[in-house]
Amino acid sequence: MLPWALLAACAGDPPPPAPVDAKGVLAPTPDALLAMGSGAATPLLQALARAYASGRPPLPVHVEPSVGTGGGIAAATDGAVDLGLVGRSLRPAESVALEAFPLALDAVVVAAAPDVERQSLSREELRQLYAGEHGTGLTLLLRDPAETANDALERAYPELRALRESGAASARFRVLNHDDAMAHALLTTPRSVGVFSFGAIQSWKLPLRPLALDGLRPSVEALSSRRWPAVRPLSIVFRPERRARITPFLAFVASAEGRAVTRAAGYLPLPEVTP
Amino acid sequence: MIRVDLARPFARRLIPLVLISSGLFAAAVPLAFHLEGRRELATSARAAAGQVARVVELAMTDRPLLWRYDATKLGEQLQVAGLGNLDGLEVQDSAGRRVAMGSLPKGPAVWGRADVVMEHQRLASVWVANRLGPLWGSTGLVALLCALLSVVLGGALYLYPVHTVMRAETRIAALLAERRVALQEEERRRIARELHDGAGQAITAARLQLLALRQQGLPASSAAAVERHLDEALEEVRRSTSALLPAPLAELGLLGALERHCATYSQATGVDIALEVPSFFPELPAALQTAVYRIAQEALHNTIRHASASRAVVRLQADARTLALEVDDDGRGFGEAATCQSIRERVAGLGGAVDWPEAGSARLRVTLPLVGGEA
Repeated sequence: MLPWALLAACAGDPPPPAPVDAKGVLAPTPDALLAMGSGAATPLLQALARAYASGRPPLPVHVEPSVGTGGGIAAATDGAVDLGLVGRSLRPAESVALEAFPLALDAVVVAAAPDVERQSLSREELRQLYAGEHGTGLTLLLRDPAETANDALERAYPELRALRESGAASARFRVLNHDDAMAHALLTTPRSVGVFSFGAIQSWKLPLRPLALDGLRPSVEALSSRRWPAVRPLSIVFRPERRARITPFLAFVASAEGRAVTRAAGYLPLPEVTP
Repeated sequence: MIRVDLARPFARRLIPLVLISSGLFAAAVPLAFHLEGRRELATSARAAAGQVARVVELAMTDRPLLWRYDATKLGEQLQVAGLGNLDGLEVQDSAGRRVAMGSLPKGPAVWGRADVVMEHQRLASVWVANRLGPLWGSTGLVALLCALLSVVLGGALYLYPVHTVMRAETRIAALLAERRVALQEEERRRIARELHDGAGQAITAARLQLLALRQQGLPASSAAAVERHLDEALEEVRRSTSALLPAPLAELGLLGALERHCATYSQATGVDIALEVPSFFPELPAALQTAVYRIAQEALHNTIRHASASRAVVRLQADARTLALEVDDDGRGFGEAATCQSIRERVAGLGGAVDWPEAGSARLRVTLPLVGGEA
């Protein structure tokens, strides 16, 4: 009896109860459209929101800090935000509750810290960086596994995936979880390079240098001509019942003004889509 | 030899106690180890839950509604910040909805909980798990070691007291034997005194009266016959008293009696008999003196009778605990005949040992304890 009493005293706290499966959708914010999600799309939405606000719309757009594509999809599904920002195509399960509006293409680049003199990387040098070889004299910073930039770059250079995964597993590289954390790390880590959004560098006017890959310099023109190899599509996702609230903003994004803002921000506007 | 049977019943009663105490040891130590391990795991889990709750509180302060959508990355940041060794992490908001910050543990675990409370309101709860698997593994190892140790401990708990009781049993048997011999010798002395003072004095008085009767005219032929019968009776009494109590021992002590016996026997048999005694020889109890004297007599008798020896040595040695008597000769030796049985019985009665170093040898060594116990 005594041992069992002692056992109970040393058993810790009761385990967590089974979570509640909440099916309800949150009510929208009455005085603004909330946007949140991919860090690559966040600077673009900030630029578009600023331009949209100048026309004094009834519902201005408020852009929350990045929570990643997954967070944006979850928040839009719950109705916590009106506009979810994503850096990839929706999966079938995600498409059940959400509609997608193509926003732009973003060039995924290898960004270099301000003290890096190098202007470009060859494919072999990129492989060496991911393999942890010291031929380049640079320090590679990685993004978390869920980051869509990884997929975009590794679609262009498939040999990098296994190297990244093994490097992260062995804690050989520092891993950053947000775009702003990556930007801060690149700005404060000497001779560092990391996968980043070209549009974010342009929009935020960061003092980072997007390196040319195999002699090709990243630019909106390189995106437009489809020569830049690492590209990700940015979209806005939303619940269908919110369409009426957000249509004016989507119309602005698709307008010539909105497309100009998108291009000026360093992204390639997608062919016009009727919201 | 007197048998004292203490060890076997003691061992029978000791076995259950030893089994119970060894079993308790083998069970209690691993149990205490496991409980202490669980307590440490629970404490560690509660501390980690408190740290995670603090991080969640900061995130909720920044973004009261939307923090949960950044929770996955928040969980990854916790790992980078050094909380990555958690075996399981569960966060639920005040409505009980799961916030995807971590994963549930695989297998049984000890949980620690902390609440996120702001303005007296519980906004979320954090559970951190520490898996029990490693603790069970180390508990098994401790249990194995304790089982082995309990076998050793049980053996020691059983063997040491049983061995001690066996030694005591031997000492008690030797003391009882010594006491029995002493009582026997005392009884012999008493009988000898009774014979000497009773029958002997009566016969002597009868002789004196017979002498007086002869002086008063009793025919010499009649008196001579009575006197012969009285002399025979007196001689019988003397032999009996001498057999019961060696007279030289009473008169001269052990060493003097042995010296006289060796000299007399040497003179009677023509065998050269030497007595070797150390310069210091302890005072012995009467029973032991009688035994040594009798054994020496018997051994010398065997030497002369069976070994055809021309020279013999009787050697006495003593230390604080034992007395040794050695009888050696240059004869041809003799087998362990029935004549030696009386020596064996006498020595065994005193808790001593008899040693014939060589089969058929006339050389005899007897060791006797000076204090109660084995020689």
